[in-house]
Amino acid sequence: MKRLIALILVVVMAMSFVACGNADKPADNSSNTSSEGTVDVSKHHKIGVATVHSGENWEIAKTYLETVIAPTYNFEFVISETLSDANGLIAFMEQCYAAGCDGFINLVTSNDAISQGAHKADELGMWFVTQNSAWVEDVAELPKNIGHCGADPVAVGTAYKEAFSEYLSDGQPHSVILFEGAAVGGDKGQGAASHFYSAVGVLEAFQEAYGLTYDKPIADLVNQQDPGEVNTGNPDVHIYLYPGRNPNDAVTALLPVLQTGNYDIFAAVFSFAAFTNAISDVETSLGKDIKVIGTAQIEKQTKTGFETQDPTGDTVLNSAILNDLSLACAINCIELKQAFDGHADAMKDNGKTVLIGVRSWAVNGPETYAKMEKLNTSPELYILTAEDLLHYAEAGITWQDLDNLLADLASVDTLLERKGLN
Amino acid sequence: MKKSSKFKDVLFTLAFPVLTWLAMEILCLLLKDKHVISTMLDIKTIIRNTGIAAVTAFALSFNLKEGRFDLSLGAQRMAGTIIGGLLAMALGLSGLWLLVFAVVFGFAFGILTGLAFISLRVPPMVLGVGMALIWEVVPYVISGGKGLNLFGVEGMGILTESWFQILVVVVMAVLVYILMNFTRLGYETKAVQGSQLIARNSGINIFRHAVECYALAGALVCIAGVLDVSFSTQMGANLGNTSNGVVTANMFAMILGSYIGEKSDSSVGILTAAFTLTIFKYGLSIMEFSDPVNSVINMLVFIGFLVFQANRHVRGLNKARKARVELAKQRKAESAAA
Amino acid sequence: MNEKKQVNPIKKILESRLFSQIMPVGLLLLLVLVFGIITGGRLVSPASLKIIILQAIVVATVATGGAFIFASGNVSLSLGATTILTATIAALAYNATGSLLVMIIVAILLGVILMTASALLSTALGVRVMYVTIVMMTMFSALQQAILGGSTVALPYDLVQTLTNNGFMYIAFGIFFIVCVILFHFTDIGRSLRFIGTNNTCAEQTGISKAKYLLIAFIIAGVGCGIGALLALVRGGSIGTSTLPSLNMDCMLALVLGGMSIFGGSKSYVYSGVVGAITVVVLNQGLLMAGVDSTIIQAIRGIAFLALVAASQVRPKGLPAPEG
Repeated sequence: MKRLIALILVVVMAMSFVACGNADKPADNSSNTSSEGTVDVSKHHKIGVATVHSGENWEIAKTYLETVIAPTYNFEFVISETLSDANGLIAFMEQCYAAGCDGFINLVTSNDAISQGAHKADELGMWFVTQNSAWVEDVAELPKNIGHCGADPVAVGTAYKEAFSEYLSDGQPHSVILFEGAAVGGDKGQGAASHFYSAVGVLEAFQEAYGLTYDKPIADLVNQQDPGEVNTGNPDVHIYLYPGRNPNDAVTALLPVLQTGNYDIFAAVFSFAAFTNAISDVETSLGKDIKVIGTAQIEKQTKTGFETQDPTGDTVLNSAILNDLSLACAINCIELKQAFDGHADAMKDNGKTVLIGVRSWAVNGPETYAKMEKLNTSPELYILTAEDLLHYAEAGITWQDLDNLLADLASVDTLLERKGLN
Repeated sequence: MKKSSKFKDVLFTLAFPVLTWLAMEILCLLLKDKHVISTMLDIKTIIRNTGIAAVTAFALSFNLKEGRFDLSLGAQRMAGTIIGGLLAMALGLSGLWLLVFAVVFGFAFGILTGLAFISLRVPPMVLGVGMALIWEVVPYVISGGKGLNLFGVEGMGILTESWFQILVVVVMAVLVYILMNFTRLGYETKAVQGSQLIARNSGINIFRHAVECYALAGALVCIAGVLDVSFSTQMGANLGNTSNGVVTANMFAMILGSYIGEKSDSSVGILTAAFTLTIFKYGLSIMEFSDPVNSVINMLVFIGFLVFQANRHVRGLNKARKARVELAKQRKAESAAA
Repeated sequence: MNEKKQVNPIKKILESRLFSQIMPVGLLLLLVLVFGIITGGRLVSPASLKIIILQAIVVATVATGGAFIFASGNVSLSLGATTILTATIAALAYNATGSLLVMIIVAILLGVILMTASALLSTALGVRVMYVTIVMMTMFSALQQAILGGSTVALPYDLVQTLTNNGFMYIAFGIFFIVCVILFHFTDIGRSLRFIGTNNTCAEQTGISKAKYLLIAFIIAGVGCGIGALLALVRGGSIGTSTLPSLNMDCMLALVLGGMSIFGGSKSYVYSGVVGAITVVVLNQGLLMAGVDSTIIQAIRGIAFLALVAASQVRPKGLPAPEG
């Protein structure tokens, strides 16, 4: 009897959760049109979203997807829990297909995941678009693979190089610890391309500033799996590279390195905040300011970094290379919408996918960030509003128009002017 | 005789950290020309890591010594720390209150897990798998997927102060010592460790006792979570039943601590073991072994210790057997001579 | 004086062996029916059913091998870590040699070696099984990370596609499953393991060596891990440090949901892993198709797991005995 009751309870519970889950139904958006009235949004589309992200930045992007893009395009998003690799991606894609999805946004960035995912999408007949920073050649001509949009890796590297050049131009020797994240293999599609090029940018900046002679090509240095100091050929300039995806482990491992006092710049290609306490401790102990440069997003944590003072009176965060996940999500959705409306070819270059790069913004102080922090806080202040989404979903828009748009937005001033924040 | 025996016990206890430090110091100097402990920051780091390992090991010990391995402890740690932290931040309270709230929530989650255990009466490992799936979702939903972010939050500085961390760990160690040696809980724990059936038959309420153990484990593991997040500033609300790694990594400290504690007390043993292993890992990181290699080395040493511990009685048995054989031979020779 | 005690007939049915055999299957069919209705039949479409089988196959394979260990009353938490480490090295072996045969042999051999090492620590050196599996779980994951660093190892897409199209996964699983059924239910290996799980002391005194049969159980589980590794490679095409992170727990979940007695013993069935793995996938799939948030699905899985575990066993009067 106990077993039967348990079974019945499980079924009732499952059905009640289903009822909860079904509470949010997509709104009827058949009346959404662009200013020229040429975008048909009467057809409802279900889109699977496979994410690797978590945290505030991802929640902001999710809100944008669900509150702005979904009603504008008549989309319904089925969002995964945090995935990490091809196996998880494939499993989720199959679940989405079975759930009736006809489009898919993949944020699992490794080449093998993208390759597997694109083939699976082709097999299942789902439109497939990826958010990443590298173009994957072997699936470039698959009919259902629309393309890629992500942080422009070269632009990220350039942004890092420029940010560092500013600090290295005072004629004094400087040394850096770089938490390079998933840079290893980033040029071969195994790690994260943006992390790879960020690390390359840093090494190039040091090379140009001090005329360093590395004992290996820069790409090989960045691709070293084990952490360690780079042979710079200059005894006064130290560069320590730490690859890894877990910031907490990196903090523990890098503490002894920080405590040597040899380094006065710390850079992190993600999660700079995880290192701040360790850096503050070292600054207090050694009475030395350590500059912090990191890849960041438009979120509360970055604002806190610029506004909080470290033990030496400087800001905790000195420079940020900003990427916007929401903007990349918008471009992905535009590409999908174009594909649904029969314009997939316009999103490709002669039948091959392209990488549309979101340029990073280098922000070197709290004043500039104070203006940027207002972005993504309301429907009007998302970089691409509902009206922009409808405009770029019109027939006749090509991938080059999207790329030109992102190139225009590369300038912080232009971006702020456009949103009335300057 | 008694004094000399006590002195030997103290030496035995101190030998572990001292010899470990000595070995690591020699290796670090030879391989990297660096000391294990060079600055106050090294000491601060070791104190913090020891505290986290010790408190986690204390949490594990309440159930593991009685044969219950709770696989949901990591999820309770995450849930209690994140929810306690969010509550403290929402109320604009300091780090001390974060700790208090985390302990309260950890205690609550522990009690609920314990109640589930005594109600369902499924093996603890199996229960732990199911409860971990549930507890992981709770902080995810409450934090909206964002987890806990203490970066830049005012009032949290106290949690990173070494004196505060030492105070917390010492208070916990004293509390565990008192609980295990001067309370009904300690008496019942020793009885259940011997035989659960006999303990029950002799009148001990093993059900209430189990809930108490789970509750204390939940509370303690959240203290470790707070010490951890206060330094790293972030704790993600991760799903996928992957939260228990940080807890199982401290199993070595608990088991080694039990062994060291045979000559003193389990609290002292666990503290000493946590300190020893922290120095060991710190030395490995100074030698620039990557984290995975560090972990492999630790696990190999752990296996070696488990093998030693499982077989240390064998030497005594062999010795006793040899003595019996010798005695038998002697008696045989005597009777033959007679 | 000799009145027969009145036995509740329903209780008798619920505690019978037959009921314990058919309940997991019945539950699975019930879930399929319920979600089939909720999703308007989409769940039971041929395409959806094929997807369900494919998603369950890795866990089903590893759990089937793990059933041998569970039958003896022991629990192994290192099945997942063993599988992933094996898959990593097998993929590296393929990339180094270009030989599929080498990859298969390496996978199965390595799975056996790793699990045998775990078994020997327990049987030969006397370490508690529970401790061994936890340590091995941590160590194998760390080893894999040390080998791969932050990167992944991938197989050529053509190879993966060829193997998929030729039904390699179904064939490999099918052969392994049939062999396991024979070994578990028709040979003294299975009988002895179940006897050990029922009453270890009686088994020893009957002449059944626990050490010997536990070693055999781990070896068979190692073969399961090896084949599971191959299937994981074919499914995903690549292996990284975060591939299938919850495989350890998913195997236990599958076995228990599939009706395997958590204490082992006579009510252990080798098909539990398959039934349980499919049940988990149907639950996930059904809830997702019904529009439940993916976050909540995990909590439902946990609640369902505990409810079904509680329902599937006779509630002991005391608390479960120490493990390992």
